[in-house]
Amino acid sequence: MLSSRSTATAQKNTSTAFGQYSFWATLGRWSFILPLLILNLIIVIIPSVFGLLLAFTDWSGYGPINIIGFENFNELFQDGVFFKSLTNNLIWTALFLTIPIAVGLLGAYMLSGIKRGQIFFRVAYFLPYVFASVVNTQIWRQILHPRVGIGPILADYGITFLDFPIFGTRETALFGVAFVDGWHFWGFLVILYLSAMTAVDVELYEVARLDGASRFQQFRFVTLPSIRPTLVFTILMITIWSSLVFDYVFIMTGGGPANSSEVMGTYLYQNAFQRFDVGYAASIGVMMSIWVMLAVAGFIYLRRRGWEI
Amino acid sequence: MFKNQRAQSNIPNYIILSLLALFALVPIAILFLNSLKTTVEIGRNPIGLPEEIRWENYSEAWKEGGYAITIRNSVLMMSLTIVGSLTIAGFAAYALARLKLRGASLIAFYFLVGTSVPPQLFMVPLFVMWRQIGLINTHLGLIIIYCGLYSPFATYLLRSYMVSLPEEFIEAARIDGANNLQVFRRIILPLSWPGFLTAGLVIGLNVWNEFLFAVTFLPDPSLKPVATSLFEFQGRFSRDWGLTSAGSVIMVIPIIVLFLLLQRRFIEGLTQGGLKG
Amino acid sequence: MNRKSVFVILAVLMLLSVGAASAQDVTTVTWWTEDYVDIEALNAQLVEPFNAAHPGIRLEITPQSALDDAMRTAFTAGSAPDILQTPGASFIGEYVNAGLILPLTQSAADLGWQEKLLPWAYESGILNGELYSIPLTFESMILMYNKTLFEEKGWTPPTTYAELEAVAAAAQAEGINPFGYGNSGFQPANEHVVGVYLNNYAGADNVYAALTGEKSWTDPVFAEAIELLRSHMADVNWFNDSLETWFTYGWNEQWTALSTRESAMMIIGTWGFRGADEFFGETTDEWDWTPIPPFSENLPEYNYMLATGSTLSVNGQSANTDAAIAVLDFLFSDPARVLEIASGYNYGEFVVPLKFTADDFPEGTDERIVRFYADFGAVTDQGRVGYTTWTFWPADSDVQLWQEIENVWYGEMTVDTYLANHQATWDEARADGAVPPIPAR
Repeated sequence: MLSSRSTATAQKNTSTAFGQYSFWATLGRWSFILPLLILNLIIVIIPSVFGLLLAFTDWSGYGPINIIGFENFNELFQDGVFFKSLTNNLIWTALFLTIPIAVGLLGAYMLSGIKRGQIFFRVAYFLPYVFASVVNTQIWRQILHPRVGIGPILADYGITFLDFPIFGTRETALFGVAFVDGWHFWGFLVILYLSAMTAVDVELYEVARLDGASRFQQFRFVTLPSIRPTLVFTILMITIWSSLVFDYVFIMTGGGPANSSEVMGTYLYQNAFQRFDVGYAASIGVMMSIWVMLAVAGFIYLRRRGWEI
Repeated sequence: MFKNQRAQSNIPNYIILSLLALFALVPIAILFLNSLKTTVEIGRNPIGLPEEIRWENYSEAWKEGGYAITIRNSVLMMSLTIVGSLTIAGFAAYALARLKLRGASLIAFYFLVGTSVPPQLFMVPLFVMWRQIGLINTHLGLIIIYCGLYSPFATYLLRSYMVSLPEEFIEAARIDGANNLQVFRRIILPLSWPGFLTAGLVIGLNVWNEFLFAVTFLPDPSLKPVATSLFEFQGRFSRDWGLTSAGSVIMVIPIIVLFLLLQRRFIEGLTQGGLKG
Repeated sequence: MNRKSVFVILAVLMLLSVGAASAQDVTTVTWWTEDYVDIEALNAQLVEPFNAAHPGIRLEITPQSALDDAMRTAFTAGSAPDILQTPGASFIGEYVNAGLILPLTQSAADLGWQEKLLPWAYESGILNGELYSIPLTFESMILMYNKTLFEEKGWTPPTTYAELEAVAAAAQAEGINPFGYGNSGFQPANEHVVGVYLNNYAGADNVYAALTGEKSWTDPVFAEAIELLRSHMADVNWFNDSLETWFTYGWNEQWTALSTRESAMMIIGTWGFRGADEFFGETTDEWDWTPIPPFSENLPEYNYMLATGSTLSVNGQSANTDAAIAVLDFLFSDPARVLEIASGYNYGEFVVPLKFTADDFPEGTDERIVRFYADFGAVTDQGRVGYTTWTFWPADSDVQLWQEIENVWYGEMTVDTYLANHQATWDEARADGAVPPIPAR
């Protein structure tokens, strides 16, 4: 609480710098961001606009392009598989906004409290994030394999809850893939949170301890408010990435069995590259962008309401 | 922070940290064991110890994956992308966090929406543009793309560090007559280095593992990056998992070295008192 | 400012180096292939002999990590290679409709390709009366089995559906799964079994009638075939040991199962020769193959399903079409060379559909493989051929076929709805002219 108040006042003081209303000063400030704007415009925005405009065509990926208006969207809104994948993306977002963030915060907070073994734990947590998705998915397919994995081994000792084909059962396939993706992801959050925690003022902890704050209270009232910009940043990125999720699902289940783990990314891929319907795929891409626009608009709204994010 | 927590018992920390480390490392250990087996043995015995240790998987993977070439290509692209995007993102983050820009929210909106388009959709138009300029089959062409793709993320990450820097330093500098650029160089850069290290690491890792753009924009095999080496162990329906596992371990080592270098600097900084100096 | 000038200088240097490289007087023919090929062997067996025989042409084969993606993008930008290798015939329709492919009919007549190639293979490349593609690899579906296990148990390879059922029952009584197979890592593998059940229960004549539009896919005979597959998959658990395991078994698991007697048989394409060789190589058991028996008493004889694994075409936008055609002719004119290349992949890749004789096979070729190619030639010569879905189905119909079958297996969709949806995709493809060439029966 203490710290959030101090950052809040700090932020308000920014405007005391001088000369900020002259034309040259404005241009000077903008020149800092101009290289990024230009680069982003060329690499991402211009090609993306072209790509998304294909949503109004029936382009197959080769040859002539015919404009067909909103036909793809009409079809999309009646497409049960699309709604299934949209729902799965929502489930995915909910999972990733809770479990990996909680584990990441726990790991980072615990790690910030020790000195010996820092490097070891950092490397250990970061390792899964470094390995290519094709091997990470394979390791877990083997560990959770219904015939030779740990399921049958544990079953010999009477522990049977893993003794079934997790990735082949409709009710569990999506959660199984999310678990594996989460396993590789949480260490990344530890690294982000840890570097934010190093910036926390030591005195704040001293004050809290003098007030008799427990370890959890220190976390709740000192650490968490202090790293809030980073925390919010990761929440925003996870929301965006969850709409784009593709590789772990594609490699592990391909969206199956029977579309039970289909997400927008895999459905887009299927339409563009297996059905040769790039136009329809682009309309799914438009829906993904709308998702992100909504998320970002939500954040801007919160910031306008005075949240320091 | 270290100082004041040392008074409390560290044992619960170590218990939790060790459990988390086991969770992260056991599957990696299995991967390492598999890198010493044949594919056929992995099929029969996917999570146990190898019957016979095959170190030759590593030399074979090294040769078949062409790692001598691909690692060189990737190191080149990774380092230039890190330098390029941290420069661009550093300035931009400073502007967004510390200089009152009218419409900063709109810019934020613009960048984030820009990161939301699936790459498969904008790759083709980008390829056509790059071909017009003659940037296909050049590392430079791909480095520029990577800078464009990863800078927004780096900008947001850096911005989140810069937002929480104490205002007093900046004001003091301004009273001394420093302009925006000088404030950036003298105050912001030295104070937000943990953010730069982290952002550099994340960008480096992204470049290292990226293959979607690389396979399309670099048709010449002598220019291919390390992530494409794993394709060499794949058949139409099959994959040589022994070599894939060995190859993926080979591929990770340079990243771990980079990580250790950056993190050591990080931890040294911490023990010296870090930010609050 | 500084950074910008560095970029400009670098860009200029790049442009200069590109310009310098293109100044040559020899015609270079480019061909992109899949990157699992052994490029050193291919250079020695094909590229160097070709270049030596054609002084004015330089063939360059380049493996690409993601061939489809690289080709698609290159097409749009007009920088595709001279020789086009597609991952299957369903791509050809798209390429042809987009006007990207050179018709080869005249060259084929001049160079006598029709005599060199197997008749069905030649016809499989004809669209709207013009030849557009030739299979680079052909394949068929067979029944592989663990021979040692069969001998020990006193089972004989099934030649009728009754015998197949008997073997399956005997295996299940011993705790052995009749079949080991799955789609993990390659979801379209579903179509391998769907195609076999259509061909071996409904029969190739009915399938041909549906392919040519004379019969609807909603015909009861197809419904019975799909229902038979559904019951084998979901009711009597012929595959692995439950429907769910189908989605967790991939290449490694299925071969491990067959070679360690977890399962007795496998329905697979001839690309399976590779896996059999590798996985049985480390056991004391032996493998063998037999034609897949008919699943219905109405069908008197077995047949071989026709399939192309990948195809070759010539880029219509290329300036070097004559040189590219020379490359194809060089490949088609030497069956022994083709088999020598194919032997490097245990006859799973680069099996160009030429008229092979037993003498064309390199010394020491596995007897089981030679036996297959001999029988395939004899049987298909009598017109006993079937149709694989990835070669003769339009792209959209093919995806629907392997996607929605999962809903059928899980009882989420009735067989009738599945087939009605299937027919609808065919109607659309026929209206769009997207039906691949079907060789006359």
